[in-house]
Amino acid sequence: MTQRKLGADDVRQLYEQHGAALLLYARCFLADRGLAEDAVHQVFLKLLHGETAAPETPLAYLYRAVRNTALNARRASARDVSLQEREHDRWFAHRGGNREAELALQQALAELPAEQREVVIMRIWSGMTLDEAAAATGVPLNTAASRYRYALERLRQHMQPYQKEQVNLRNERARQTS
Amino acid sequence: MNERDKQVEDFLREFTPAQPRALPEQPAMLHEIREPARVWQRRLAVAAGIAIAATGAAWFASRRPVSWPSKVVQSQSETTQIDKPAGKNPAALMLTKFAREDPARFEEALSETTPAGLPRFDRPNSALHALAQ
Repeated sequence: MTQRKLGADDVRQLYEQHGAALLLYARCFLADRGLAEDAVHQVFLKLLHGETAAPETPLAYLYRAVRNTALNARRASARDVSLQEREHDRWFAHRGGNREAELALQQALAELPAEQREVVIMRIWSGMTLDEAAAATGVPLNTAASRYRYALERLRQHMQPYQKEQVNLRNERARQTS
Repeated sequence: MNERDKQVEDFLREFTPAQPRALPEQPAMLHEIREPARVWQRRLAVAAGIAIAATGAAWFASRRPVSWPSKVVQSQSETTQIDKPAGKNPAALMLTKFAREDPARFEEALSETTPAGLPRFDRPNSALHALAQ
């Protein structure tokens, strides 16, 4: 695979676009938000300082690097995060401000098997194709696709009440405007 | 992908992951990467400074023994010459004092101290006694 050095602007642009999804990914390994952020920063700062030559598919590289860094940090850190801290620590912000749905999704995502969770994060919040996700995780396309389908089904089951609520709200608004 | 999956995807996209804090700005470090020559110049300057300091210290150290040690040795020997009698024999001090201030008393003191200081020849088993006979 050919390698090139990313410019500082490229790196910052990647951070703007995918920093949030990568943080979410890191938080699947690290309960402490600060440690997860540090892991993401560490990866991006290495790129900024030219310590690492990024491959042609920087996004796949970023996911791999964040996972390795987060796993190393998890081994090094003995700090346990309390339940209260976890509840105050939001993983998501819902467009409609549904706090309950935010927590439900956080829980559903945390309960997914790691290999399903990473494909979902890559696909939904980083906008990667299934091909790219398969390359990033080092599995065949079919495997990535089936992992994604299973994950989506589990999330659908878990989030169904909130999704229905959302649909009802929309229908209500549509009726009111008409 | 069926319609139901599409709806779930759309619903999930309504949730935005929390943004991480901004990347730390480190213009100095980035600057160093772009211009590594400056880093080397700085390192060379530091190395040159250390070399100059070391040479100066070596030169200074090599100069010191030529001009100073003779005085030091001399002063040490003087000190020992003065200190030795005073410290070890208080009677000698007293005799010196009498010799300067009162010669009559000096004679007296000398005749008193000399028999105790000189080896005795009147003991029956001494070598001097045998020689004297």
